[in-house]
Formats: sequence, structure tokens, C-alpha cells
Amino acid sequence: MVTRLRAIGPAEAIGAVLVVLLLVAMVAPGVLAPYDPYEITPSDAFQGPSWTHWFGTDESGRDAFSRVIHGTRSSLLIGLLAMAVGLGLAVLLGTLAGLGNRALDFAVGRVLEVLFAVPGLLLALLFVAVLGGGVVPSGIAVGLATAPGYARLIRTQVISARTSGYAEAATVLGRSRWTSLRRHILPNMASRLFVLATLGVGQAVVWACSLSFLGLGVTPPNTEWGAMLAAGRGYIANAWWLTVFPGVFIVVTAATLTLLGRSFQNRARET
Amino acid sequence: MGRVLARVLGVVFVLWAVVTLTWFGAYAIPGEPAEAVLGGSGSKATAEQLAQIRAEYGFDRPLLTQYADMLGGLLHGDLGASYALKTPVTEIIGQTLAGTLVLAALSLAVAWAVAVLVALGSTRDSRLGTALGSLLEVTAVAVPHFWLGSVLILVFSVGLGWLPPISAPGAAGLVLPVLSLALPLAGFLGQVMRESFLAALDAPFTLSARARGETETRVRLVHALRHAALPAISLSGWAFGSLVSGAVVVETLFSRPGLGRTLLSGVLDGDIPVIVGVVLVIAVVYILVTFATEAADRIADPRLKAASRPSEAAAW
Amino acid sequence: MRRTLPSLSVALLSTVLLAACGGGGGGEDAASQTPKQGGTLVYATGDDEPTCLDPQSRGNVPQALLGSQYLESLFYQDEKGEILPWLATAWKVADDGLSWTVDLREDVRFSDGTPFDAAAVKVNIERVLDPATQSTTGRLALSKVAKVEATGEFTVRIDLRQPDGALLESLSQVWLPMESPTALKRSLEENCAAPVGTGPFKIESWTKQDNVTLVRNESYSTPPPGASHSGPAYLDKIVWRFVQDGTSRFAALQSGQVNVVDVLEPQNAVAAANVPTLKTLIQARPGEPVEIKLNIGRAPFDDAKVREAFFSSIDVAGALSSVYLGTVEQAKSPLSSATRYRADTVKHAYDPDAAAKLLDEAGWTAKDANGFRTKDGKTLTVTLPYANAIPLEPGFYEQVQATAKKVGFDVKLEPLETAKWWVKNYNWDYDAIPIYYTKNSADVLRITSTAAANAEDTPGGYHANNVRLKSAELDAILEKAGESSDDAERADLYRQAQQFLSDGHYVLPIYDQQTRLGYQSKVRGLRLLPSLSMPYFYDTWIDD
Repeated sequence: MVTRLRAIGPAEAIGAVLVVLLLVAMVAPGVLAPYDPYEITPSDAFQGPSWTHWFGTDESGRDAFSRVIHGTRSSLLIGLLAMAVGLGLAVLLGTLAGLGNRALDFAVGRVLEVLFAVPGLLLALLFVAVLGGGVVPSGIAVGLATAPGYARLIRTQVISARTSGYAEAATVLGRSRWTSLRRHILPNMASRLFVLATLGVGQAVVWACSLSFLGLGVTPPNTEWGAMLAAGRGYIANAWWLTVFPGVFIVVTAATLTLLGRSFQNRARET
Repeated sequence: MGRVLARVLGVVFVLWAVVTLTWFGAYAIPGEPAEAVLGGSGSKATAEQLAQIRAEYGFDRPLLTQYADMLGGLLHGDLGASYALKTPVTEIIGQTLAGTLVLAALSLAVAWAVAVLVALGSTRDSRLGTALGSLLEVTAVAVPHFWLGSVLILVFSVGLGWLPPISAPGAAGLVLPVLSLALPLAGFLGQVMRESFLAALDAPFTLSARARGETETRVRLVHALRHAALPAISLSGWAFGSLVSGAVVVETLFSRPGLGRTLLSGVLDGDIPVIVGVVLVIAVVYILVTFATEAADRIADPRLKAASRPSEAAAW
Repeated sequence: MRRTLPSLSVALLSTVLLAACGGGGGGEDAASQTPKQGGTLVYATGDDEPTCLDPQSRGNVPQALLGSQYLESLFYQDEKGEILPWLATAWKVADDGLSWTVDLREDVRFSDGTPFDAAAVKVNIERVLDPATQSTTGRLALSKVAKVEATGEFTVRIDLRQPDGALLESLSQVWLPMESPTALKRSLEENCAAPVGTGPFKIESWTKQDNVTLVRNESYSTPPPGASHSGPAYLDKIVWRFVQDGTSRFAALQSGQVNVVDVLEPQNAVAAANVPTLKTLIQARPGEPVEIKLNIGRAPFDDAKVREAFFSSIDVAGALSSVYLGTVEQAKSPLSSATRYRADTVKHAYDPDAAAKLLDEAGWTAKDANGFRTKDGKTLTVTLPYANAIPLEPGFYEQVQATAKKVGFDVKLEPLETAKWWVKNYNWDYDAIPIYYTKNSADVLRITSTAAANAEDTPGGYHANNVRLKSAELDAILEKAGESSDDAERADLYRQAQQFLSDGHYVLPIYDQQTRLGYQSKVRGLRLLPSLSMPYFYDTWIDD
């Protein structure tokens, strides 16, 4: 906790490499995937992991590794969308509450309380039940569910920034609240938001998996890690690789994003 | 007096809003309620049956009339009857509430215990220990409940034959569901505690305690831990909500009767009274838990400072 | 490293062999030992929890599974499809085929003590026909019944609007059980919670979302033909648990927490074959097999060539060998192998080239950027909604989608919850739909394929004609078959009907819907009631 300008540690380096690989898998999965993830070969079903098929093959003889790679896009899109929706809504509500008058703060506070009182997964379930499954509804659903948590946090931040010296000085100088929001408070929060975003993407990916398990995820032929995990779980006694590898992928991804987020958080705090 | 009144009004507002939001949300689920009444798997309703049910249940009335009716019923403590099961919602909740509360309470307790142990055990001066503890926490948070549960079943039920894989009477049936719910939460609470624990170890009051000659163990267990627990205690209300979300998954996986599973089947069947009733009960319990943690906070820390808790937002 | 032959294939081979040996309907081990009295059997079902325990109200497979333990019917149908006496002792049809006289057993009481008599039969049949009962399957099966009269204390006469060759078969289904008239005087809801019949067990309690507990009926006196003992059942209790998740369910069987599971998934049937303490009992249910039916009421499947092309683009054999690990056989008929008058009329082969040629002939010659065929600017799209209630594995649909794509079909898969799937079904809002229909008679084709089954006049209401067939030719065949009581004539007519359905490429049978049980080998005397292949625990005991 001492060095201010710490060099990048090995953990961060590994994390960064993983993130780059994930981005490549998201944008151009064909570069990393050795096979067509949709190619059916019934005679190759349930092959264990080998040099030919690193993660083995599934019940339709599809290469599980290629499917995990191709599933990155949907999974991360859900995560990113959820984060964008959750954080976007939270910034809106949080700043309204933090900057507005007491009545507005009270109103937003009640809205947040309502959202908190409804379990997040229920909100997501209802949303998906109404709109149907898929990347966009799942992403929005998970985002909605995470918004109140972010919002409460941002409200606290805005209030502490508003009451801090520089914002008060700006107010004394006759600047409007909104100007000081734009000029001072938001920039001040940016690094904080970035940290939240990294943490949030990982968690959103994990929660999206639960929707898949409950049968409310993306529709085939699209693949997504949660859907693979849920489908592979049925074969856990016969073909362990179908659930272990996607599971490890989810855990490693979410953990990496969380670790990176925390390391940014520590930096932000130290500088 | 005014504050109490405001508080009560606030609670009433929140409950009203939760009910309204849920009712309209549930109504928006595709498929009409009359089908939910006649529905269920493999059931086949004829048009005349549907018409009969629509008239009987009043689904042919304007939406707002039905809404007002539902609210009126709630005011009299009547949650209505399940479309699918035809039994009063209060009865269904009565049968399932305890199971979920026990599951959530035990999970919270276990999560707390694990989090404290890991945080205490791995914040020694050894960097390796700290890194390992942190890694454990981060990994635990990143594991989906249903996957953890499946792996636990494979190892402890199928492999070792120690514990039942589906709900069973007594403590044995609770072990695996509780672990599946508690471990991810423990990772999360652990992260929060570790931060404040480390901060507390450097804080002036621990330094002075050391200077007074108290043992390191006493410093850690009494002073630092008490301080570290504060933010985690105030998270317990939130943690309860997160456990209820997790309970939907865990109760399904382990075939446990409970609110979570009731809620899931309610959503899947479009069973509006069940959805509204269960959400209302969860909201009430959530509010009670929040009051309790606020009170605990106030007792433990009169200053009640708004500590910023970045990780609170990162999960449900 | 070369791919090694997965151990699964070996396991698979032994399962097939096992299935071949155990095909006799179970109970093969009961004779050798003296049955032990007492004990509790835990049964975990993967089917949905019924919303009502009385199969007269609604009428689905989950209700039939459970109801077979405490409810009985007038007639019993054996493995060969012959009708034998059960609660009825004798019957006679009038020469015009319009009325049946049925004699009843005189010594039977319901488990609540109410005597079973002609008045009780009248009450039961009239109740099923009453719309207030909300019966679906039972009411459809009795659609030709005009009225029921008690002509003596133990004799009833059933009058029909039209001759019905399938009447006795219908009345041997558990969806048309005999229940205590005293109990039926209660409200619909009360009767749903605890219906009272004459079966070997009776309902003790129902804990929603968890289990229904059944206890032995001590005064049981009506064992069906083929039972291996008389008097009350051996088991004290049956705990009937609802465990939707297949993986947890099988884990519970493996760890000994439950004694019997149903809806045994293919991979778990294979796994069970490798566990010495586990056995499987897998048998076809009568009626229509699990099929993919095409909606001819709209494009593109209003064109027979496109229908044939779609079926040719599906590698059913490949899917069954991979997704099902070869544990089921491809169906070759619009009727399941457990149905009387089945004829192997379907000649299906996976042939993408033939499919492509057919599509060319049908005018779907252009291709869009994704490789999907188009005609007049429209893409060759096939929507296929499915639900868990239909026992085809998701992997199967994914294979259909992938192989059909190679020919140029854009198959849109729609995984839905059961309730939403039914809405699509009601509204013919699909191009292809997977479905089955359980009925112990070839007369099922009349319910699913005649113009009358279209129910055009009841939009939003139930219909079983998923193909939307309106063929005077087929109607005439099925009508005649339904009214005939001549065995050879019925066989020929039903063969013609099946030929018609196959030649028109309306339905693609996949495999017979099955009762799939996994059980501990210490469970003895497990058998299936042949009428609907429902498990039956009257002769069952536990060999601890």
C-alpha cells in the first residue's frame, strides 16, 4: 500500500493478456477457434478432450473449444450491455438524487428502495418472460437488476463531491449545479465508474448464466457460456468436459475482470 | 413523531409501488390469465372453457378495475388464489416461507463465518497468504450458484454418498443448498471485510492498542474485526435480497420447496396472484431486515458514517 | 493423439442389450422370491407437478402417472391391446353399435367406503362430459357419448351418437377413472387435492412443490388382470416426489435417496447400465410417437415438395445415435409401436441432395447472403417452437437446424415454457412443431388428423390437428375405421390412414414416446400398466 506508481504486477499482466484474448474472441472468434462451432458430426459425439478437440466434443459432435470461443461474444455482450444499462440508469438516478433538491432526492430514494425490495433475479425473470430470451433482453434484464446498487453508491459519491471544497467553490462562483456536475463531479467520478464497470461486467456474466440455467437465455444456434454450462450440466456424469471447461471459462473471466477492477480501484485510491 | 410517520408512509409507498410494478409486469407476460387458470402442462382448454373462466375470474373487465380489485383485496389481507394451484396464495406462502427463510438465514450465517475465517486467516503479513485469500474470494464470487451446486452434488452425493442431492428432512438436506448459496456470498463479504480489516490494522486505535501491550491476536479479534464487520453488517439487508435471488436457482436445483421456486413457477405459468404475493412478502422481509441492520449499525457505530462500498453495487 | 473410442459407446451397447432383455414389461424377478411386506418407496418424477390430482379434470401425463396408483377404470387393456374386465365384468354392444350395456363388479367399495355401483359410473361419465369439470383428454375421448343410464344396480347402458369402436379402449384409460360419488360431491378444488378411487393406494397428503404421499388401501379388492398377488399392496407408503431437474433426479437415484425415477434421460440410461445396483425399464407408450408435424395451413409447408425436402434434410438416425446415444429406435410409423394397427409406412432417409433438388423444383432456387433459399424475395424460414413438455432433447433441434441449413432452410428455434408453447400451438403459430399424443388406440388419428379436429370455429381454443389437415379422403377412412368393429377391416383402414399421412409428408415420426424408469435393483415387482405404459406399484416390494 506504499508505492504510488507501482509497476504492473504479474497478476495484472496475465489479466491484461486474458482481456485482450477475450476481446479478440469477441470480435473475431474465427481467429482463435479451430473449427466451425455449428458443424454437426453425429459420429464424433462425446469425444473427450484431446489434441484434436481441446475441450472435447458435445452431444452433436461439435468442438466444445470452438463453441466456447464463439460464445464469448454473446456472453460478454450481455455483460457489457448489463453494465451499460445498470450504470447508465444509476448515473441518472444517482446524480438526480445527489444534485437535485430534497424532494427529488427523497423521490429517487424511494424509487431505489422499491427496486431494492424486489429481488434482482425476479426483475430479470419478469423482464425476460415478457420480452423473451436473447442477448439484448438478458443484458437489459441483468442491468436493470443491478442498477439500484450502483445508483445508491453514485448518489453518495455525488453528495460527497458536491460538498467537497472545489464544487462548493464553483457554486460560490455562481456556476449552476449542472455545470459543476459536468465540469467537476462527473470527471471526478470517472475513474470510480470505470472500476465499477469492470467489476460489474464479470458479475453480470455470472448472473446471466443463472437465466440460462432457468431456461431463459439465448436461443440456438447462438451460443453463450451460461447456455453451454447449463446444457453440459446434464452430461456431468458422462462427459464432464462439457460443463467443466465452460465453467472454468466463466469463473476465470469474471475473476480476471474483478481482479483488474480491484487493482484499478487500488490505484485510484493511492493516486 | 413526524419522523416515524414519514417512515411508515415511506414503507407503505414502497410496498404499494412494489405491488403495482409487479402486478403490471406480471400482467404483461404473454398469454392470457384464463389460460394460466386452465393451463399446466399438456392441458388443453377449449374456447368455451376459456370464455367461462374469463367471466368467472373477471378477466374480461377493464385492466384498471382488476387492478383496483386486487389492491382492495390486499388491504383486507387477501392475496387471492393461485390460478394454477387454485389454493389461496397466503397458504402457499405459509408452506414455503419458512423453508426459504431458514435457507437464507443459514446461508448468511455460513457466509459470515467463512468470510471472517478467510479474512482473519489470510491477512497476516505473508503476501502469499493475502494473495491466496483474495484469489479464493474473487473465485467464489465468480462461480454461478447452479454450477457450484452441481459440482457439490457430484462430489458429495454421487461420489462420496455423504449428503442427499435433493431436499431431505433434517440438517443433512440443508448442507449442500446452503453451501451453494453461501460460498459466493462469502467471497463477496470477504472482499468487503478484508478491505476494512486491513484499514483497521493500520488505524490509530489498533496502533494504540498494540502500544498498550495487547496481544496481536486480541488486537485482531477484538478491535480490527469489530471495525471490519461494520460495513459487512450493513450489507446484510442487501445480502438477503441477493440470497433470495440465489434461492430461485438453488431451490430449483435441489428440488426444495420454497419461495424462490414458487416465484419461478409463478412467472413461468403467468400466475399473477402468486407472483404478486411472493414479491410482496419478500419486500416486507427485506424491509424488516433493513430495519434490523440499521438498528445494529446504530448500536455498533453511533457515528454511522456513510462508508463508500464500491463492491455493493457489483452484485445483487 | 488419435481419438479413442469413447467408453460411452461400450456402455451404450450394453444398454441396448439390457433394454432388449427387459422388454417384457418388468416383474421378471418377482416370481423367484417371496415378497416382503411393508416399507416406503420413494419415486422421483421429472414430469410436471400436476395442478390437480384428479385426471378427470384436465387430463395429462403427469396426472396419469400419479393417478394410476389410486384410481382404476372399468376396463383393462393388455399388452396385445385386448380389452379385459376390471371394474366391469361383462359388456355387450347393440347391433347398431349405438349402445353398450356394461355389467359391473358387485363387491367393490371406494377407499372412502362408498359402494361402487351403476349410479357411480353414471355420475363419473356425466361429470367428465360436464364442461364445469374442465376435462380435456377424457371429454375428447367420450365425444360420441350421448347419455348414460343405470339400468340396474350394477348395470349401465351407454348410448352413443355414432358407433365408437374405441369406446372400451377410452374407458380403460386412467383419464376416465371411477371415483367415489361421495367425494365428487365436494368442490372441484377439494376433489383435485384428494380424489378418491378404488386403487391399491390412497392419497395421504400433498405438499406442493415437494411430494404427494400415498398410503396403502387396506381394503383393496380389485387387482387388475396380470397382477401377481391379491389383497392389499405390499408397500406401506409411496412418497411421490417432484424433481424437475434431470441431473439432480438421477443423482438422487445413484445416491440411494430415491428408489425409482422416471423421465430417465438417455445419457443417464447409459450411465445406469454401468451401475450394478441400478436397472432400467423403458417402454413405449401407445398413441402417436414423438413427431415433428408440419403446418400446411401456410407457406412454405403448404407445398408437399417443400415438406418432403424439409424431412429429407433432417438426419434423424444421426441425431438419435448421438444425442440419444442410440438408446431409442427411430419410429417408422405415425402410430407408436405400442399401438394396435400400427403399420410401418414411413420411409425416411437423410438425403440433402434430394432435398436440394426438391426445393429447386418447388421454385426456391435463389439464395441469400447467409445461404438460405429464397423465392420471390422471401426467405425459406421455418419456425419451430418447442417446450420441455415434449421429450425431445434440445440437441436434437439444434441438429435439425444445422442440417436443414445446409439445404437452405432457415430454421428459427423457439424454446418456450409450456404455457407459451401451448398458445403458439392453439393459434397454429408455427411451421413445424414437435408433439405427441398418448392414447391407447389407433383412433388417436381421428382426434389429431380429421377436419373435425381442426376446431376452426374456436379460435384460441384447443385443437389437436397440428397439421391443419382437411382431407375428405382421410376423414372418410378414419370415420369408417372408428365405427367398424371388424378387426381386419380396422387394420386395413388404419394402415391406409397411416399411408396417407406418410405419403403426404405431413408428419415425421422421431421415436416412440416412452415411460423411462431407472430404479434400484432392490425394487422388485415393478410393472407397467399396458394401457398407457404407466408404472404401477401394486406388486412392488423392496428387497432390503
